[in-house]
Amino acid sequence: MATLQVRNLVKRFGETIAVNKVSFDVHDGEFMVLLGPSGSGKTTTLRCIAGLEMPDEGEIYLDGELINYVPPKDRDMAMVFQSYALYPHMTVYDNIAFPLKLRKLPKSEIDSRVKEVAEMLRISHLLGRKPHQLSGGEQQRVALARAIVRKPRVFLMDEPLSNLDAKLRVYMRAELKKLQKELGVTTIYVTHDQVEAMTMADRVIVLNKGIIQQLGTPYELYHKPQNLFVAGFVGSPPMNFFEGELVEEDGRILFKTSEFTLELPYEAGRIALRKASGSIVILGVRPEHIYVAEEKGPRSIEATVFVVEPLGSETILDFKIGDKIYKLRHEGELDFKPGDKILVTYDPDRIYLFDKKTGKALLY
Amino acid sequence: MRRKAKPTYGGSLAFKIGKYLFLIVAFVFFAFPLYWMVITAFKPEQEWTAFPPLFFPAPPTLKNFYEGLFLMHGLKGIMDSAIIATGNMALTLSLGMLAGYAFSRFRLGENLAFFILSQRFAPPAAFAVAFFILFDKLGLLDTYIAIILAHTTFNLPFAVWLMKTYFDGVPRALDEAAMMDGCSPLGAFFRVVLPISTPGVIATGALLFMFSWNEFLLALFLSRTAVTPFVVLIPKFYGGHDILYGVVSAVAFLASIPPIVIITLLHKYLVRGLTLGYVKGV
Repeated sequence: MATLQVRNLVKRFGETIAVNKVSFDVHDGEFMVLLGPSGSGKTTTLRCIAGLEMPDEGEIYLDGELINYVPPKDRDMAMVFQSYALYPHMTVYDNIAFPLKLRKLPKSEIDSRVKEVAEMLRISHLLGRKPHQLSGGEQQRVALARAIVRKPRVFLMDEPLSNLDAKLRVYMRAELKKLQKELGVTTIYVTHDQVEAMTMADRVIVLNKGIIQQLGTPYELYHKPQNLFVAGFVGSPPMNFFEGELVEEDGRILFKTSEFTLELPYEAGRIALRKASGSIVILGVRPEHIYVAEEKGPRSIEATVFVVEPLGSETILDFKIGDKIYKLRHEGELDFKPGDKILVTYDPDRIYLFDKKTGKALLY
Repeated sequence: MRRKAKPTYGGSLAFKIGKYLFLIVAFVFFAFPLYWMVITAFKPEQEWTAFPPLFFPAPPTLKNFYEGLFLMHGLKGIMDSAIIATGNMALTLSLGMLAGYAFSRFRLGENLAFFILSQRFAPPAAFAVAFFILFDKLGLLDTYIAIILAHTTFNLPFAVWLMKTYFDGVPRALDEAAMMDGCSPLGAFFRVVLPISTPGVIATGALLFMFSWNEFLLALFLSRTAVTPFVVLIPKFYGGHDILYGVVSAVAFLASIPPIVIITLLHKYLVRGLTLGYVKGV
């Protein structure tokens, strides 16, 4: 059981600033995900917490105690690596028992704990094997078992599912989440996969270029992205962005692009106009909030079908307005061919507006 | 349906014959001196330099071995070489392993690593006199320690680089996992990295042993009468003005057995150790 505080963490590699003044708290028993593209500083942040990297600035507290100078072995954190990092010269049993042996636990207790964890992860039949005799999924379970067996204060996981095939990954996602809730151990989980972050996390930290973009629940990230980066990174397919000018004309708020002009809901438009640093803004609409319109209306835009991607239960339709490609997501099937002229419309209550200059959200 | 003929390595019959012919010539070229040494070791004195040469000793004798080992102190020479080679191997390997690991894992800079390697560029002869004076002042001349230290100086760069390259192939995540599991950095090295690197350690150790076993110049400079490695001893096998070819061959034959045994036993590891960087699947 542990809480973790990170304060103004900075880590540089030569000229590059990998982590730039990152601060956050992880509550006791919380599943916190660090989400970001490669090079965003998420793994470096995790490694600083683990003690594998020395921060250049800032403090890390575990249960209120400063741990910057505590070596990894004394932090009582267990880490699951992307490559699993199983010891190739040891059997599965010895791999799992290794951290307990180092703690000089009595043999009988080591044995019972290894067997208990193996049972929990359904790898009891593999205990006598060497890591290279295991499949990727089995190796993954052994790596988890080695972390769990110690009953550490914090779990650190560095993209633990990224080496699994897609089907197993979806399965392990749920399994891992359930396991974490059962054990109640504070967990920090690094991933670049926003679906993993959304499905598993209690809260998510979105990182880009070493800076926290947003910290919030998956719901908040999805529905109230604070900037363009989060809006574009969270959600699949990603949000559509249209660049245009925001103007007030005859008591109406209009969004004008070279291809089309839309009338925005008055209240939202007013707020955006007041907050924006210039008149050029970015309009964001998620693919699931764009629809194919039956007939021309005040909010319909002419478009050309580019590609139809049927996924069975839903269809992703790629369409072109001008020379730019956008996506909409439709429940069920859509019967269009590339080149078909269509009308698209959107849900006016589900739009996002961002400042072009700062990238900040204007509505939430 | 006709199957396309599989392209075979080797091609035409003429090429095959040429290939085997070349291999036979090469084999004879390398094996003949060994063969000559072995038969000379068993030849009685009058046959050593007989003309036309005899390709098989008639009758074979063990006299050369007796003389070489016991009367000319060849046994002590081989024992001394064994002590020096083992000492060099143990010392160089222990230092080389730790330094190689440090170079592999910590940012020590390429310059320092290159500096260590550059020690190997200088010819041993350049240092021989300096070593002689140094060990003389220290009162270590004609001791095992002197030759072991001198050999270590020259073999260490090799050991450091070989071990570094080997450790480079061991994923860093393994050390880190060990540290997260409760090891100190040195503990991670001894409990995880080193056991995985056994083939590399064995290969490096074997090569170090053989370098020292066969080294002549420094052994000559630093030894006198108390310590006499066989390489220094053999050239002294004279009887009056004659070279005692049979005795030389007998001791040389016995002295070449340890390296041959090592190579035969550790063949697998040596190939792996020399094809550096191959540690996939670790």
